[in-house]
Amino acid sequence: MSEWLAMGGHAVFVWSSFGLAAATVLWNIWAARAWMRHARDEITEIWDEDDGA
Amino acid sequence: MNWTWFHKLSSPPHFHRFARRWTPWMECAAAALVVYGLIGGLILAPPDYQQGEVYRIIYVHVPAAWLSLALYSGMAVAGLIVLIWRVKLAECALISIAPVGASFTALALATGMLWGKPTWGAYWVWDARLTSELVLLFLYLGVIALHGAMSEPRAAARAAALLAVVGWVNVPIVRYSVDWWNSLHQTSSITLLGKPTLDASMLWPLFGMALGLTLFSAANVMRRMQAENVRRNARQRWVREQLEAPHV
Repeated sequence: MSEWLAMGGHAVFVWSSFGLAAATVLWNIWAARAWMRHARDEITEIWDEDDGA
Repeated sequence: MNWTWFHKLSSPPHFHRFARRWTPWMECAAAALVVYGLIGGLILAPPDYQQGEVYRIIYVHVPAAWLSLALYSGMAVAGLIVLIWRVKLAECALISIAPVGASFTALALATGMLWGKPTWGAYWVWDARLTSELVLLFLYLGVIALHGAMSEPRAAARAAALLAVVGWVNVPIVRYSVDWWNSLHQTSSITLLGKPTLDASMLWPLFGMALGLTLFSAANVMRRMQAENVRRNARQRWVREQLEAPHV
């Protein structure tokens, strides 16, 4: 196991790369959900205005 | 050939239902393929006879690089549709693809640097491939910034579309830079017509990762498009019906 983790002495390069990939995927997941949250907030405001008018 | 299904996709309510139905399945398939790619690439595939274990960075670098070009091409096609037919959903696509493409371009550059240090002895060299990929990142950021700089959504989308279409000239430059110029970066291990230079035990996990991340990106773009789509159609009745439905 430790030999596998060492990646032939290049552990920092290999695991950093995979870590960055995971971070990229997670950021995209979070950002897509944030887009929808903002859209919902904006829409709710518009509806409130229309319903109030 | 009946193209109704394609035209229906440019209808905001129809797209919303389509995206809402298919994105979860795409994400599940993507997760399965990525898990397969990681197990195959990190555990089952043997070390490379020249580079040893460090070559395993290929399993994130190559899919990210492939996605940076594919997503830009998708964005340029959306840009063309915006400029020619002014389809609103194409505007949503253009705006949604840009950040996803930029993130994978940045990932391709970063993992390339991490691969370059142990392999070439340097994180960065002003090589044709690396430089043109960096220009690609700037183009993505330019599209995002240009769109963000204008308040009127439709004018902003047209300006961003123009930059996306014009900037597409850089995609073939990135792709063929290793053939046109004397480049430190290796030539393609996988070509459409030629026999791949990778062994099958290394190749199939790479396909798994590439297809998995492609499906993930497509689903992510569709989720962002859903948000932009409902935001732009806030006063339409279908939006109220869809958003007040149990699951969005």
